[in-house]
Amino acid sequence: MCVPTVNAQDYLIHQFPKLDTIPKEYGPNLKNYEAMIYGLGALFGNSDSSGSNINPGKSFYVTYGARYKNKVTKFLNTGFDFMFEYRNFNLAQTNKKVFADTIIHKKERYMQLTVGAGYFLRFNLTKRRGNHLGKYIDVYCNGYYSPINRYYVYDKLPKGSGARHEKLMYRKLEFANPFWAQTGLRYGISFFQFQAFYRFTNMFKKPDKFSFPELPRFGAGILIDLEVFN
Amino acid sequence: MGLPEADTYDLPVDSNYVNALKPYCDSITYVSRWLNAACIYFPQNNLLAIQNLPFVAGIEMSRYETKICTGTENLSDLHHGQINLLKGQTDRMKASAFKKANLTGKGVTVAIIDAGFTGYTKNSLLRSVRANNQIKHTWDFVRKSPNVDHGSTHGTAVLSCIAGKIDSVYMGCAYDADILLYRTEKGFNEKFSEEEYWMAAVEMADKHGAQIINTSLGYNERRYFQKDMDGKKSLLSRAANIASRKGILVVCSAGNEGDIDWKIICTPADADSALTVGAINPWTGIQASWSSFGPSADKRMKPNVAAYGYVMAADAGDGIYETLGTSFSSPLVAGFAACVRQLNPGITAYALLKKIELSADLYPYYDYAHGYGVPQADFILNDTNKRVYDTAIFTKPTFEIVFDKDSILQVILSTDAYVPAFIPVRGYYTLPADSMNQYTSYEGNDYKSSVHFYDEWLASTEISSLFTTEPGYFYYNITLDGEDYLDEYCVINVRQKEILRLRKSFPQKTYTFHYRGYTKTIQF
Repeated sequence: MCVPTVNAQDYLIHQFPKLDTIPKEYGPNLKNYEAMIYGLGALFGNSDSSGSNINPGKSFYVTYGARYKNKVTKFLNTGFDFMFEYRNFNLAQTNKKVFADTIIHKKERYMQLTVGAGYFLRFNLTKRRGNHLGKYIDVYCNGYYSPINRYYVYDKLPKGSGARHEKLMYRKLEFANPFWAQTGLRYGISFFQFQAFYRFTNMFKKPDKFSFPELPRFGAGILIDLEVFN
Repeated sequence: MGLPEADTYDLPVDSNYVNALKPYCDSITYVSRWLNAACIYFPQNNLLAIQNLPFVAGIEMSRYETKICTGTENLSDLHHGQINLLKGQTDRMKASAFKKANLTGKGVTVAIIDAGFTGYTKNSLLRSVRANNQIKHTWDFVRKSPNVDHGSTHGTAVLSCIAGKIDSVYMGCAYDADILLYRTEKGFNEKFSEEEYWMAAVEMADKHGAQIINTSLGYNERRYFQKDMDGKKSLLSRAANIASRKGILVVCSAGNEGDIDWKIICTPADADSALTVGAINPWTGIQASWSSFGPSADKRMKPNVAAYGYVMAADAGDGIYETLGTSFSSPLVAGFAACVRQLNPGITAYALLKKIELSADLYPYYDYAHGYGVPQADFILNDTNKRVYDTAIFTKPTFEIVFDKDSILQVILSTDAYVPAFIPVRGYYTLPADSMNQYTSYEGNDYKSSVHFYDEWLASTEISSLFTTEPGYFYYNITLDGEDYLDEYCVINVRQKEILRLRKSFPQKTYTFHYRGYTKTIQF
């Protein structure tokens, strides 16, 4: 091995061209792709009955996670997502409301903090391209575990009751089903994706004493995946 | 040049073939004589039918993306550093020698293929170009019109680096050359059609007698992988090689990807017969960190040569501005090539390329950052054929190689040639106390500190001193036994006479050393 042994030299340029010609395995259109994902969107739709409708403009989710994608062919990719997700259902205060009670509150919301994992199939629409994502459609299925579920009630109190507002938080909700899943579609242009999903499992347990109607099952939003440079 | 009046590439594509395609196509946007090909848009369900046509050898379906490497009015409006840069961009190539020899590109036609030439009709830096009616033909392939005064300033800046002039200072070497301006880029709206436009522009340039084409465009990861940069994959590279066979030298910018993940040259700079130009930082004298590296994917030497990557160039209005990119190194060398062409009217494109390589200041040393270095006009005029391997440009060797008993090789700089460098680690420049008076300060400049940092992505004309000759660095490269490409290369700042010490290796390696114009190769 040749070792320059004269000390205190300024190497202005020192290049090893072979390193530049080693085929890369990680990249948007290479064998492996790793990215961080950031998502934001709205929850909407009607509940299974009108007893747990939500205010669609105020109900949302936020996603943060990681993605691994594997290139199978030019047309087909598969991959996994791992994520943390925050969901906030802002409950509509209507006369028909039965979740979580029938009282009309000033504000009422149901919140979940979840961890999830999903599998997706990606169909590339830009078949011939260089090392970039192009346009594509993802079909995916995600499973979630919600260790933290909270139900909040916010009311204004009448004058003379000793306080102006009342804010209640309910924890360890017996009716909450910690495991649930959803399926969805994503349309992506480069790192930017539009997604829509449908939750096909129940979020609430169905023991006789609760029997709450399911919260709306639809959601849509945007997702950004930013490459992790290897 | 000994080229035939016409060859098979000049023959049009058989019209029967083109007509046979029409029923399957929405449109035929271009028919290429050189590639014997047609660019067509067609419904997907016609793919099989087209493939099955007996005269169709293959179909390449494509999309792509480009990477465009992207004021003040009179000389008196420029500050000292800007004036130095303006003069330096041609002085570094010793262009004054061309001027003395009356080589100004006259009679040579240079085509510029670019993203647009906004302001070229009114910028006073190009007044002489317009006044002498040097612009012979223009065509906008995007809008199908002769007006190219829109789209981007990039082409205007490139044009000024070939034929611009401010007061009495020429911004490029070929200020008397005939010019063809072709717009092929849609700017940010990248479509495959741009590649088709580029091919069409090359063929049109051929039709209008172009002898040199400058293309400061590079296409990289949006459409290609690094392994595709082999000079064969992209249509542009193939067209550039055909252009060379037809006597046209295609001068390409290497690309500005040196400090990002892509790192290597773009296409068509990967074409075998294209003269690929890397960028030199005028203030450090070495390759600008963002200038793309070689070699090509099939390990051919690229870039071929280098030139200033920081320039003063014409803007869209009536001014001049500092800008950077290999986009501007390329036209500086294209102008240089036009002068060489004027001197050697019968020369073939490949011989012209080799002659320019031979004139470069590091030759016969090379690496994948600088190529053979910066072309030198005085070498061209002094018959570069006399420069042969292991022969000093200077009359005597500038270093000696000493082998000691322990199988150690030492490179020791000779006393006569040794000049301790006072400049820079990359990204920094240093002003030692005893050289402070070499610098001309201008108002507002602060030279109190001796070490300054700057971002190479910013022009640095606040530094008034720049390299107009080969910097006194020590260069060496290493080739493994049995291989014909470099395994390693270095540029060392010279601070001591004993510049390098190497241990013997097994198997043997080939070392090439270069210092101040003298190159020596040994096996050790």
